[in-house]
Parts: sequence; structure tokens; C-alpha cells
Amino acid sequence: MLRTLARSSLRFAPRATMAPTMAPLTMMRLNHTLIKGSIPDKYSNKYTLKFTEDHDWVAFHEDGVAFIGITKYAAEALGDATFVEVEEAGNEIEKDDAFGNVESVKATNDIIAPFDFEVVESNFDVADTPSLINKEPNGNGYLAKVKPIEGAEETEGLLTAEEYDEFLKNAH
Amino acid sequence: MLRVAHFSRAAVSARAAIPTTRVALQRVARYSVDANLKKTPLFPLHEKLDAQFVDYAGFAMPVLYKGTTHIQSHNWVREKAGLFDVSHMLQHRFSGPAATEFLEKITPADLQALQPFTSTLSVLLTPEGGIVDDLIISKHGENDFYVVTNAGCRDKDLAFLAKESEPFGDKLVHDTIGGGLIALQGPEAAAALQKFTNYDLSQIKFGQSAWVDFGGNKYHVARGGYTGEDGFEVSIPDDAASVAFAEALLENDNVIAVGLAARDSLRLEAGMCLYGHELSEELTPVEAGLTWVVGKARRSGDRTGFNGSDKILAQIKDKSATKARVGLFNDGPAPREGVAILNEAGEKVGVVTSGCKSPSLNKNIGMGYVNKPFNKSGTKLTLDIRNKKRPAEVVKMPFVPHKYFK
Repeated sequence: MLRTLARSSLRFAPRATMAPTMAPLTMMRLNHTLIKGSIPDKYSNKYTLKFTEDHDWVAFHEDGVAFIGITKYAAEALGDATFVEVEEAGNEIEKDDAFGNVESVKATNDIIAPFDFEVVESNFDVADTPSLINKEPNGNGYLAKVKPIEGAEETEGLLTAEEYDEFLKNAH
Repeated sequence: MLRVAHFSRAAVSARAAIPTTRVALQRVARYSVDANLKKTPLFPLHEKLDAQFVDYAGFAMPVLYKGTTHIQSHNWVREKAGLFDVSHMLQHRFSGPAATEFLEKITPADLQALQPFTSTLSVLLTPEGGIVDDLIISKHGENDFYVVTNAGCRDKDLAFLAKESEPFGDKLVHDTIGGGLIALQGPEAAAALQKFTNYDLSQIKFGQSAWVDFGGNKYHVARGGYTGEDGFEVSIPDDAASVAFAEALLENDNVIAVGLAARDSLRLEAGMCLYGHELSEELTPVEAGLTWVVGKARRSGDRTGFNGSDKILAQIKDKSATKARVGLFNDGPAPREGVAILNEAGEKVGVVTSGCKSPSLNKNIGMGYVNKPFNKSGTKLTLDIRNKKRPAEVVKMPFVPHKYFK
């Protein structure tokens, strides 16, 4: 996710890039798993968890259903979530298109589809209670239950937990 | 020594510029603050408080402090008191026999009528009547003015002032002033500041200022701010003293340090303009909904010769401005800068300049410019956000009532 939509607000100060700084990652090492017993975790007994460079996680269950959410790292960087909007069930989304938005008080962020899929169910709980994104981004704060479109199960480019961790370390 | 004594008479503004902060997550994490950024005297304190920094107008400025979210810090200012570092703003002193004449040429303010130790919001004007910057002018005496301008306009303001002051020669003296500038905002601000002085702060009303003794040091204190709350801005010329002063205030349980994130949502709730968003050189003060900054005595008679006055006074007289600044409420996603405002027929009639989810009201608020007559309160409009039409309504500002000490 997390392509920021808010246009550069600093027309009068072109040198300002507004890249926030965060604590060194060694201090915020994250456990890249789903919360035990949460909806995306308990959907089936066995799933494969992958990550993207846009800070999404995807849990692929063996029956062909996948859950998508944003990582803890992304949720922390976002701050208080104030609004969540996800495409409706039945809509087909193409890879790299936005399929939803997560807003904080100050910014609007697109959530980017990591592969082609059809939305099976968007998470109404997180739309009703956006703070769920901050509390359990890797659990009941997931964004959508989706079905990868045939031929698009291709998960090339998706990262394992170790690779995502490495990506976070090298991304700056 | 003279320079130091002069600096100690620094003026204080009543507001600071804030960006709508962007979270660019792809490159969010950094190990350290860019060494090329300028730092305010309070920078070591921000580091100690584990601030998250942004590059704002070339300064490393705190946007959030560890342990407090944007919404928590925002609400704290509305309920208790927040301490803001606004030292990045540019403080000036204008003196010399032509100081009033000069400032009355580049702004539409009636500075002759301004009482000593009172201040006014004004605008610097191009010869065409466009807004170069907004500023606070405090009068300390005849031809003795203290002025604060926005950090983001620093370079262009200085170039503008240098050019405009040329014809005045040595009849005008312009100095800029350094040091720490600390804003304390919120209902508990007065009680927190009062603990450090015997000066009765209730003698200073909104829009007024005074030299206040803090344990033997006199600092300039202005009552006002950029949040809509009661509050003060304290100018402390010595860097180390400004850090000590901020630390002492933060020992009070009612006071926390607050960064630029909440400062922007607070000013937006208060209906205040931010240069670069609501204000630009493309707009006159009349178009920006700031007709009141044109002093009565500057509208007719022999003191009408300010920059752009032909255009500005004509706009006031024949109401020829075609658009107006408005406040908006809407449901769903928050309005953001650049979002198109449509009428019921679906035609574009304006554009959003600022917007957010209001932490105080728990609903979306926005500011923008719309064509007349769509600026009337209660007008139903729609916002085109992510290719969907979202209902919105024109409402009066401020969104959250001001609570000034008058």
C-alpha cells in the first residue's frame, strides 16, 4: 500500500521534501506473522504469508482465498487511521491499481494491489472502526478477502518475511 | 553588545506556518536527520523528546513526539496546553523615520491607528495586489515595528523587502532577529506561564504584547496564536535560555510538546489560512476572504497608495471578486488539497486548498475556493474524491469556536 495521494503542500518551499524520519529499525524489529485466532489466521489451517514492497501482507490459503492487509510497519508510519475505504465485493482489480485507501488525519494513502484479484469481501469492521488498522493491522484489521484471478496466483516479486525484513533495513 | 540588546527586544508573532504533512512511506525510515537542514535552538530538546522530524522549509522540525499520536496531541491542546517550537519563523524589526510609511506601502494595514503593544494580521502585497506572505505586525512605538513572517517564504520575503525598501534609503532600518520562539497554546497555557512570573498575565489581552520579567530576564510575550485557543508566544533571544524555558514549562503536567501535525489540524479547525495553500501571489486579500486586513483609513482619502490598491479597492467597492474562500463539511474520505468542488449539475466550481478529519469534531472539514454564488452557507456541493462524488456542504468558519482571552 501506501502511495501518498496528498499533493506536495510546499509550493512555497520547493526544497522541502517532507520525508518523515522514524526510529532506527533495530529498535522496532517486527514480528511478521498474523495474530493467532484472528479472521485471516483462522480461516484455514494452513496458509503462506507474503509481503510486498508497498508494505502489504498477503495470506494465501490453500483453497485459493487470500487475505490482504497492511504491515505493522506501515500502520505505525501511518499514525491514527481515520478512514478506510476498500473496493466492493465482486470488483476485479488489476495489479498495481489502488483497491482501497487508508487515511490518517493528515494524509491519504492508496492501497496497491500486488496481483490481479477479485474482491470476495471487504472488511466492514475496519471501515466502521478505522482504529482497528492501528491495533491489529496483521489480524482483524485486514482490508479484504480476495480471490486471485486465474493465472495471477503468480507471486513472483512477493517477499518472504525474511526478505521483507531485509527490504525494510535496506530501504533507506 | 548593542546587537544583543537589540535582539532581546525581539517581536513575537501570533502564528506559524505548518505544512499538511505527507507520509511518503516508501522512504519513511531514516536513521538520522539530514545534515543540510537548519535547526532551531530547540532542536536538542526535540531530539531528547524523541521527535519524528520533517524537512519543513529547510528546517528539521518536529512533526510528532514519541508516545503521543496526532489526535492525542491535537486534543491535548484543546483541553490543556501544548508547547510548539516556532523559532523557524522569521522575526524582523522595522525602524527609522520612514518605517510606518514603508509598511503602509507594502501592506494594507492602518498602522497609524494601531495602539502601541498591539498587533494585527496583515499581508505583504505585490504591486499587482497579490499576497507575497501573511504576517503579524506588532507596533511598539511610532516608527518601531516588530514583524513575524513565515519560514516557508523566508528567501522571497527578504528579496521582496530589500527591493521595496530601496527608495526609502537610510530612513528605514530593517533588521532580522534570531533566537527561540516558543508558542504555548490551550486553556491551561496562562496558568502554566503564570508560574514563572510575577507579571499579571491577565493584563495582556488577545492581540496585545508586553515585556515580561521571568526571573530577571525580560522576554517579549504576545497573547494569541494559530490554534484558536488562548495562548502566548514568548521570544527568547538566547538559545540556551530558550531550551531551559521550554523544559521548565514541560515539567508542568498540563503541558506537552506538540509538533507540526497537530498544528496544522488545529489551525484548520480554527479556520486560519496557511500560506501556499489558502494564500498565494495569485490571490488578492479580498479574494482570500481577508478584506478585513484592509484598514478603513486605507480605503479612501490620502493613504490609499499601497501596493495593488487600485485593484484591491475596486474589488471591495464593486464586489467584483468572482470567487470566495469557504469552509466545507463532508462525509466519507477527507477533502484534500487539489480536490475538485462540483455543483449539483456536476460542473467544477472550485477547488479544495486544505482538509482533514477534524479530531475535535470527529468529522471531515475542508477549506477551499468556490465561484460565487456557491460560497453561501448551506450550499450543497459535491467533492470529486477518487472519481466518486461525495456530498459536501458550505459551512461558516471557524469550525471550532475561538476561545481568545479578551
